Parts: sequence; structure tokens; C-alpha cells
Amino acid sequence: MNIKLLLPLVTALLLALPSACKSPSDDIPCTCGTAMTDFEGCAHPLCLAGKTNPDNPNCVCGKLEIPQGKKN
Amino acid sequence: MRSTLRSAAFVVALALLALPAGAATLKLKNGTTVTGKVSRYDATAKTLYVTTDAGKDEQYRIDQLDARSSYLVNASLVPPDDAGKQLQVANFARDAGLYSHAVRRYGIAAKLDPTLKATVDTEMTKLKRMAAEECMKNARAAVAKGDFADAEKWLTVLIEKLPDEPEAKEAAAALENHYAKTRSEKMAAADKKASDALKRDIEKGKKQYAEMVDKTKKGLQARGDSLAKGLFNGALTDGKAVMGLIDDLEKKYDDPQTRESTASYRTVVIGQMVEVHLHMASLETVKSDYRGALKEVNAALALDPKNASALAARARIEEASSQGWWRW
Repeated sequence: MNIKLLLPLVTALLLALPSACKSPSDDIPCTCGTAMTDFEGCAHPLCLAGKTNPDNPNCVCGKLEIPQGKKN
Repeated sequence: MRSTLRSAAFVVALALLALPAGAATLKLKNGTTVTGKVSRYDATAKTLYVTTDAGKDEQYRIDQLDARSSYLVNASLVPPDDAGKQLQVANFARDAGLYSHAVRRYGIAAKLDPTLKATVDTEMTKLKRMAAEECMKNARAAVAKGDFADAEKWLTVLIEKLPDEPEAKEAAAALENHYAKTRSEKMAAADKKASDALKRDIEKGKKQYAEMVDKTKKGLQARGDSLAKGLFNGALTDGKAVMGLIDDLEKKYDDPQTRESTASYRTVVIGQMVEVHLHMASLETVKSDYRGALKEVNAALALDPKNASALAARARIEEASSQGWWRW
């Protein structure tokens, strides 16, 4: 493998990173934060798995990481 | 060559480290949004310590957060196997208007500690009361704005999820006002694209479509599952008959313009049939018959594979079925 091949590969990987952080499914959108979803629940795969969807700031389906001083 | 590979690996590692792992978005009551990492929570002072994305260390009392973020913090602090605390968080979610979160957590609490069942039932009764009032408020607000499609969604939620609340009766009566009208408008839009000859040929199908709509509406208004089911099945029979007529017309007219017009009629009829299947799925879900509910949702998806409501319903039912969670 030479550098001419490697550079486009690294570039492509870096470009792909932001989309890699996105939700795994585009079929079912995350609708957290809408009044209807507060009633029905969100069907987005991350939400159903009990995780927060990073793409939706209104999503409260997961948990916060609280590393220290965790008291109840 | 090796040093180039090492450099590339280093760049990739740096990029991965730059990802906002564990980042949280919190909303304050004043409308401000804070994104960062939570460093700790002081239970005595009820204060959350956050390092913002800008690198600033901030602290927020729970009462400074909006209801959703406040719920998120509470939910994060609760041990997953503590039934009593799950019940408390469920109450918090309910009072914050997060009804689906609340219902799920009530289910978890009752599953963890079956002796809590009576308490959970009492809290669920309160939840249903609050939810019914909010549904009706949302329906009225939608009607005031002239958004009858949105109003219908809220009325349907009331009828299907909260059938024993007094507002459900009112919701069933309110369907009388706009249900048929919104659907005849869809058919009228399809009519606009059709030739006179096609309009004449489709006339019988339109009458059957109107009957299908009427049966769907009556199914929603019906008190009792078996009556509702009978009406919904009747609606589907009407729908299939209209689809058969459209199939025949597609054979009769092979010009692209008429084909396009028949496709418009087909879309209207499929939309109604999908709706009926989803109402039937809802009936089965309330009874916790997840297999029956999935059958109906799959029938809806066979008609319209990309239908967003049906895809979402299938995902919810599959999850509820696998986790044994409560649905409502």
C-alpha cells in the first residue's frame, strides 16, 4: 500500500465519521419531543433500546453518564 | 511506509477521540440548552455539575432544568432493579407529561415487585385521567387552528388508549364532525386528475369507499371490541372491492395519464385500508395480543411498505412483545 492509496482512504474514513455517529436507522425517525410521542412513545431503534438518540436534543430515552458523586 | 501508516492510525484515533462520547444535552427552564459532559451529581444540593462543550464548568440545580431534562437526570440516578424508585420516576415522568415513559416504568416497577401492583394501578388511574384531559385539550387546540388531521389524531388516541375516560365518549362524538369530510376531500383531489370517462367508471368504487370510511368511523365510535372489529373488517372488505375495481380499470385504460389517475385513487384507498389495519392492531395491543397486532401491522405494510405509522407501530409492538413491557 502506498501513500497515494492511503490518503484517500483516511480522508474517506474521516468524512464518514460524522455520519457514523448518526442513528442506525433512517426508516423510523426519532420523534422525541413531540406531544404525540410523549403519549405513544418513540419507535426509533435507539429509543426502543433505552438509549438516547444523539441526533435529537429532545430525546430523553437513555441515561446520562454521571461518573462521580452518584447518590440517590 | 510504516511511519505513514502509524501517522494515519494516529489521525484516525484522534478523530475518534474527538467524538462527543457521553455528551449530554440539557434544557433549562429559561429556554437555554446546555451541551456537555456531566461530571457529578450532588444529591443533597440536588445539583448537577457539567463541563460544557466550551470547556466551562457549570452547575445546575434540578429545579433549574425543564421537566424533560429533570426527568432524564432522575431516570439516570435510579438503580434499574429498585422497584420503589422506578415507581417514583414513573410518577415524575407522568407529572412531566411524559406518559409513555411513565407507563413503561410503571410496568418495570410492577414486574420487579409484584406487591406494588395495587399502587401501580392507582397511579395508572391518575395517569389516564391526566392524559385524557391533555388529549382533549390538544384536540380542541387543533380544531381551533383548523388542523382537523391533528385533531383527529388526538381524538383517536383518546378512543384507543383511554376508552374508559369520559373524554373518550366526547372524542367519539367529535369524529362525526370532520372524519368523513377530510376523507372525501382526499377523494375529490384524486377526482381532479381523472378524465370524465374514468370518473364515470370509478363512481361505484367511490360509493364503496364512502362506506368503508363510514364503517371505519363507526368502528372507532363503537363501544366494545367485537362490534368494532366487525365494522373494521367490513371496511376492509369494501376497500378490497374498490381495489378490485381499480385493477379492472387499469386493465381497461392503458394510457399513462389514466394510469396516473387510477394510481391516485389507489393511494387514497390504500391510505384508508392501512388506517383500518392500524386501528385493528391497536385493539389487539390493548389486549396484549401482540401476535394479533403484528398480523394487522404486517397487513398494513403489505399495502404500503414505507408507511411511517405502520413501521413505527411494528417497532413498538415488537419491543413491547420482547420486553413484556406494558403498552397502553
